Amino acid sequence: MAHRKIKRQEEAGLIITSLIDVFVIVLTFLMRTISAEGNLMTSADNLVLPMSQRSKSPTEVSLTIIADQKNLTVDDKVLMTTESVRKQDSLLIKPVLDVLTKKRDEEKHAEMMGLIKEATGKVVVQFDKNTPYDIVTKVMATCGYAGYNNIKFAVTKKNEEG
Amino acid sequence: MKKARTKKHRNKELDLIPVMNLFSILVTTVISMSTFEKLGVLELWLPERSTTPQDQPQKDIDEGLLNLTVVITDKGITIGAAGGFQPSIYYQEEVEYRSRSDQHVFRKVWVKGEEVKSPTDGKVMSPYERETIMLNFVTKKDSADPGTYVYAAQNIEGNALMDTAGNWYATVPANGALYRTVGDETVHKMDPRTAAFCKVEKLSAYQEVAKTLEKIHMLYSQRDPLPPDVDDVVILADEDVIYDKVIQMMDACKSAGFDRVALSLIGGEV
Repeated sequence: MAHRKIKRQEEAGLIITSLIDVFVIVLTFLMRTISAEGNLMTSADNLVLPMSQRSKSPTEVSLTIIADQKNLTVDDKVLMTTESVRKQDSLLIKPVLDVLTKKRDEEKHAEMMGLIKEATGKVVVQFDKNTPYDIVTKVMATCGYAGYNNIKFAVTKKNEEG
Repeated sequence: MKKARTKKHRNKELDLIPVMNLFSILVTTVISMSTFEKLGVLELWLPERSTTPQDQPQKDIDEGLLNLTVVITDKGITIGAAGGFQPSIYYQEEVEYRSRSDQHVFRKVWVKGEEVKSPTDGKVMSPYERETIMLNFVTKKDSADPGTYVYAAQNIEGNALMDTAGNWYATVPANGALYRTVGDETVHKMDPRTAAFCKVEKLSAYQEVAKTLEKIHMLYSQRDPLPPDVDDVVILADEDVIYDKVIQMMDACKSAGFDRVALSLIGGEV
């Protein structure tokens, strides 16, 4: 019986230098685009924020009101539907006013106790870009009535400065 | 003589697999940390409540104040100040819809009260299916005139270009021509690289408003004494106006130099 001649093959090495090049480029690109500040604010689901070129980066978010296509939410708690806000005649939204007044009192109390530096009355409002202005004014009026006079609108930045 | 023993070295490749592992982990971590939608905030300025007691007669309107107001209606935008009103800036609203049922994208000129149906499945579009709302600036000879679009050269960011005299460029400026955009006082010189990214498109009414507001701001900034409300503007809108229009208008006001923007409702103060 003839011996089968076994050819000794040389070890086939994988050439991964080009792959490493790709990874270096991807990593450099990602490191350039990533913001070191982190994310203070997250956009709600079921909501498309309007675009803005002149927006500023959020510094501090203490209270968030979200009016999406279906519901009006204060600090992740659904209070009523946007449709019912649209239909009501009164400028003040009662369930929202109750929650905001309570939160404002808590904030003032915390300031008195020295837990926070200043009760600034800051509120960030996230509205869907197709929301009628009527709802916007009602939410703003309610915020103002409850003592939240520092209102900021959340937007999507059109192009990053710098 | 003893021959130096030369060791035969095999051409050895660098073992890059651990580096690859490291890169894979790094890329995954960075991707998981990154946010692709950058959020920002637009600050709103709320005028302070008057401290004058109700039984005391209020002072007459201060003549030194500018009292600048931008009124948005569904037909046009009007700028008013203490001295009177500017001619209205008319626009035609064009909406880009994205159907939720089949993701079909189409554009339509918005007509008040008209039902919009998707051309593919005939489904009536809801207001929340509006993806982009464009206000195209139109010039009108009289109220019966449907209006003529105004075209202007726009840069890669979508900002319309104007010459040093403040007129829009109807075509892409020639090489070496001077141009600027609203909100940027620097005059640039056109070069072939920038020109390659410029295109002529319908001029947005927001750009026209921003240009007018910028002129007003420059005029009032030179006044002596400086009016206390030189950086203030109030946007007045109807209750049916879409929030996006208000935000775009806030952007236009801020780019014109009016940093303190207040909002108000036609028929009531907020």
